[in-house]
Amino acid sequence: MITIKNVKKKFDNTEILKGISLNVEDGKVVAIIGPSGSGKTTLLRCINYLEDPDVGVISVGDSLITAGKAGKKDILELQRRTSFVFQNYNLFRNKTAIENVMLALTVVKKYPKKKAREIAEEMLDKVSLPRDRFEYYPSSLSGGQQQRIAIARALALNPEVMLLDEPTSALDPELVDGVLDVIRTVANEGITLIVVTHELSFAAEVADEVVFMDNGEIVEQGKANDVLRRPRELRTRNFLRSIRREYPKIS
Amino acid sequence: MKLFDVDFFIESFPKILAKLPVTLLISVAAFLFAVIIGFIVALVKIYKVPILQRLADIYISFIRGTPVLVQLYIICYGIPKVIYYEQVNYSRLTAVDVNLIPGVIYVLVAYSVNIGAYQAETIRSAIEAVGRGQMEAATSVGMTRTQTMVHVIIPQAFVIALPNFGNALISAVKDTSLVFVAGVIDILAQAKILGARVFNFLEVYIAAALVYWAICIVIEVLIKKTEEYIRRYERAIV
Repeated sequence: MITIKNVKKKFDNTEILKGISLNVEDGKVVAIIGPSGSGKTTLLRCINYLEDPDVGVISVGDSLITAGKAGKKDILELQRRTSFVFQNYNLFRNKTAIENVMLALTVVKKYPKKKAREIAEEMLDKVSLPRDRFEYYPSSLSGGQQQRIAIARALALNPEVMLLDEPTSALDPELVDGVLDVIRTVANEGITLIVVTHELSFAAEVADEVVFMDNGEIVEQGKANDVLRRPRELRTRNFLRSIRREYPKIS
Repeated sequence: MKLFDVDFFIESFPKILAKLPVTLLISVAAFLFAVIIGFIVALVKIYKVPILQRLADIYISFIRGTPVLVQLYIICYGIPKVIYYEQVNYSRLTAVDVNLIPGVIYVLVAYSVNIGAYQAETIRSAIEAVGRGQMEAATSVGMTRTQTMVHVIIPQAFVIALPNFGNALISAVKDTSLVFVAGVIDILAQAKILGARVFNFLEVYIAAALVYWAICIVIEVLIKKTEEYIRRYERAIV
């Protein structure tokens, strides 16, 4: 269970998050949508303390952190229960595909190399990276392959929740489907996912719940079908309309 | 009178070359100490450690703003005087005999401190150039700051800093030609001695220059090879 209570965040004097509360039950898939600048990425980054919220409570499983009162250890503990998939992959450039997945297993979980390698191979198979690419460095791999490795890296730690920040936004169009397939597989395995996305059709298909954010607050949330097909709020309707105009294909 | 005494040149060359290890030892050792100093100072600046950060700024500013020869004099005259002062006034450090401290020690201290200031900036910018994304990725998989440094940031920063390290090492080899002020006989000091015996300086100085030039070419090649090897992960295979 993930609980977010009254989370606020300011950058300089701009209020990016104006008191967000959200509950996500285990095994659910939540899609966060909204215009750029609405604070969705910041919210995601606050959940695993890549960004420190100014105010509010974040709890993931047994780990609970109140903003401003968190020690280094608590934050590390929270970060070890979550994993993050970045828009631009952020694979370790000095590590091969398989080493990227193994690193946290050997360094954080202290698994022996052999065990880490086995897990990493299993994860890379799951994201359908061809075996002959395992020893390649990220610079030699396509964006789609890099993002799938990033998902494998996040999965390998067996997190309680996986946070995905626009995982397909930086990809060439023809590579998007492969990555979405992988996320779909992960979702079907019952891992809790929170995805910031612009892929409305994907959200409609995979997400249990959709959250629409605008201007630092949650405007509407509910069952994916309700929010995407029968939005109650005017702001949601306007946003959906503009997105459908811009990307007619994906919706 | 000859403009250039070839026989004297040929005769002096091996004697000057014989001091190559001295120059190499001083410059390589000072460079390695400097990297350690530079790394610590860089961390102080990156993590904005209070007080130490100010001291780091003053250190870098002072070293970069004063000639290395002056720094060398300060160390060579300063350290023995401090030790002597402690012995006479407080009977401390009595186990040390100032006259027995070899000049090489002073020289190493002076050059390590000098090169360290320059390395601090090189290393700081290299670490910062690795980028936030890499740091965040490591954080997101639960790695601590130290683990992130060791496994992700330092290996990448090293590659970025390598060309600068190469330049710094080459500078170090040349800059150490001032060590005669501490009574250390390196390539240049040896050339001076040989030249002074017969008042023929051009030959020995040219010999010294050739030796310096040769070392620097070798270092350049080595750095280039290292760089090629180490940058392999940046090369596209497909």
